[in-house]
Amino acid sequence: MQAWQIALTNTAGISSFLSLWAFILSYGFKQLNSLLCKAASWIMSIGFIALTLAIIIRGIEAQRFPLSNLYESILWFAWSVMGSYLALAKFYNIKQFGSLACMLALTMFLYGSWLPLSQHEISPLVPALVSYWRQIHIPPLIISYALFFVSGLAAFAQLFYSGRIVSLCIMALTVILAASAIGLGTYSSVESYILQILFVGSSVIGSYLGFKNTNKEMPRFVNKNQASLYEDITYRCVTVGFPLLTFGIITGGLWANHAWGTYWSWDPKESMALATWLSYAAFIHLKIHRECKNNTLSIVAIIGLLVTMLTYLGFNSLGFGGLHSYGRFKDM
Amino acid sequence: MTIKSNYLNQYKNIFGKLFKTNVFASVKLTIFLMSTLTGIILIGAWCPQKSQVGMEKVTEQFGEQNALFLDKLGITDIFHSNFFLTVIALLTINMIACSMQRVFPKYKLYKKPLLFFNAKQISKMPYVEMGEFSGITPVQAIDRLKIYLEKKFYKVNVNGQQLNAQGGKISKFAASVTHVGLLSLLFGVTITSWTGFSGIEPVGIGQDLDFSGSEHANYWFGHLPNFKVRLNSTSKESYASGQVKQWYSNLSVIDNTGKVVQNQTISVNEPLSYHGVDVYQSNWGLNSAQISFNGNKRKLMLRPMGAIWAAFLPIEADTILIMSFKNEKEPLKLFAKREEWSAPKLITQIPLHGSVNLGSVKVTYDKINPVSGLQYKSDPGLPIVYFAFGFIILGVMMATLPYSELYVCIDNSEDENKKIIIGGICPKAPSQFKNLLNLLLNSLPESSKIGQNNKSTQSNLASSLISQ
Repeated sequence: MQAWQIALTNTAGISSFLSLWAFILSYGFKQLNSLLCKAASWIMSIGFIALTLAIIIRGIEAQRFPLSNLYESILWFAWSVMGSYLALAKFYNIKQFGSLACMLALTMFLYGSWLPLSQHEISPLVPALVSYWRQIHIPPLIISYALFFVSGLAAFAQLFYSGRIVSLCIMALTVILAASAIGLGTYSSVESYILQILFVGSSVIGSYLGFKNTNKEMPRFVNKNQASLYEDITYRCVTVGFPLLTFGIITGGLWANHAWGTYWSWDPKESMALATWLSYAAFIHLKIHRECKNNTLSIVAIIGLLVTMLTYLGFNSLGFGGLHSYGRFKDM
Repeated sequence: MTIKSNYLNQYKNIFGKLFKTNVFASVKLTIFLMSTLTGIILIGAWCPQKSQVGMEKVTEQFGEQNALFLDKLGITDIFHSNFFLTVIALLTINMIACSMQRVFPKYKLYKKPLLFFNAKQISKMPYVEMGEFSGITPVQAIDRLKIYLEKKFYKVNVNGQQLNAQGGKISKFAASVTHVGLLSLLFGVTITSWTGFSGIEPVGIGQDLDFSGSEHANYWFGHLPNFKVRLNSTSKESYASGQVKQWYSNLSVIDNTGKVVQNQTISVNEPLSYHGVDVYQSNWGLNSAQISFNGNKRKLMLRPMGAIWAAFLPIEADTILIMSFKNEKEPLKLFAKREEWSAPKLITQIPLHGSVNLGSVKVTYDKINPVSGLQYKSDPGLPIVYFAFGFIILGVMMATLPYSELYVCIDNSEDENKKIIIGGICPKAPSQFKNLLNLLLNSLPESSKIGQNNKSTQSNLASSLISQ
């Protein structure tokens, strides 16, 4: 059964790789564009089904709900990214946006596959995780994080189609630097404080420069319809992710109250989830306020992605402590 | 008029002005406060909080000098700092002001019917489609659009050749419901803070938990219970690998007459509840062991060493005897450690109540004393907090639906080709809304779009529609 689970997980990883290439090729071969995009979506669908089965089989093998450590959460995250792209593609004509979704899923597969073997193995649960609350509290959070990532990617597309290439490049570099800090924190022994400075420094400076350059437009990239479409997708992903995050935080509070007698203890992971919630609450208020330009909103959505990245992966790799240390695999 | 009433009027004027100028009911202020709060919370997550893990942890992480500096700045206890509490207070005032001025008054709009607009008015809306169709009468066309929109869960009203429709109406009240939830949450938390109590105590077998060491707020109106909780037994369950699986404690609730009124075995995630007080299994450990040396009983205090507990007995200048205990059931392991040895050497194992002879000394393992870490709390505001949680979840779920208003007007000319204008607003999902407008136009027979992306043609068409 373990062999099946590994084979299906690998199938999902390979599918996202092939799908990414099909999307990339569709940019080059204009005549085959539609066919290649369709093929890429089909390959992604196969990967999604394979990953669904892999997660189910892992659950059967472990005889518990398969979401208890970082590796398992990454499988869920990749599953959510693939699922949300396929769902979005049903409602919107977003063909080549799939390349970004595939790249994200593939990055997560690679990140997961390079984790220590102890993470891949099915391990018993610590006392605090032996509860039905685990399956109520964690999946909505992981799905919401995935949706916020997709929302951030749609914000990049919005910046591209509104001709804000300078802002786009700055924010892309910011996300790459922040992701590098997390990657280094996971696979190397670089001091935590250096990684924290890299993550926070790049995020703060990048966001400032990103905001500052939102007015610089390159007209040849402008496509108002596409910009409006991706603005729509950015907001829709947030409006679906936000209730899931709220549900996840609240059920976490209920679980904590059930297990530890307090629904809030300012634990670092709790605090960061609340910071993510406040970031997206601010994003929603900005959107409702209507005085904020769409390009500025896209930068805010990318900042949201950075905060989500910090909450989801930065917690383990950048040296935060607290009660939610189940996903940790390195001694701090 | 008295001096007192003059003062009252002055105060009324000041508050009236404050609210009239929307100082606190500003969404910009909300966004600023939320961003500030996010920053503070991230700093609080980054720096270990001394109220949770102690100042030692901060010193260990940042070094003594840096830790003192952070402490001076108030970062080591940021969630109790005046700055944080001020931001929370401002956000609360902002939320109340926004709720009163902007959010709650929206309920008045719920029953207010949408107006019917003419072509000129529709043409000024953010999203507009104009076109022509033929083969059916305007009334039939309106009927067809009505059916189409109702299938998409729109609430549709028709007035001759005009139509208006609302979609996702419930989402207009999402903010109200969420704000009610958030305000209730603050209310519930305040009640708990003023009337509840909490604490954690290590309790040995046969000892009582009497809540006397509980913590509560400075302004406290609550009272401590008049019952006690006795620990009858406690145990640890492990996986085959040695990793902890669960901790258990058998507890009895004893009332003020000494009568046992409840008995329950608790574990992590399975607390005991009695008269509004909850007792939780928080942690578990071995406190001390009783060992006899040639019949002389000695109580040895144990130190936690990862997954085991140990006692250290120096027996010679360079030799230490180490007694290691895994849990309350398994035998103790006796090790010796000399300076020249790289690791302790296992000498023997002694089961509970068993003995071994070490030279001329008979060592007997008499007793082990486990200790159960029991956490307790009384939370009278909890029902309100749960109610608030429900409202917040409901509110944010309602907000996922995009609200939209849609208006249609068809000309009543005798021409075979009838002109139609469809427009509306949908701030949350404009792209999908534009698609809907297209689909509506395409649902009519022999329809064609006119003046797409051409404002002057659209304006001419609007004028021709208006003139009719």
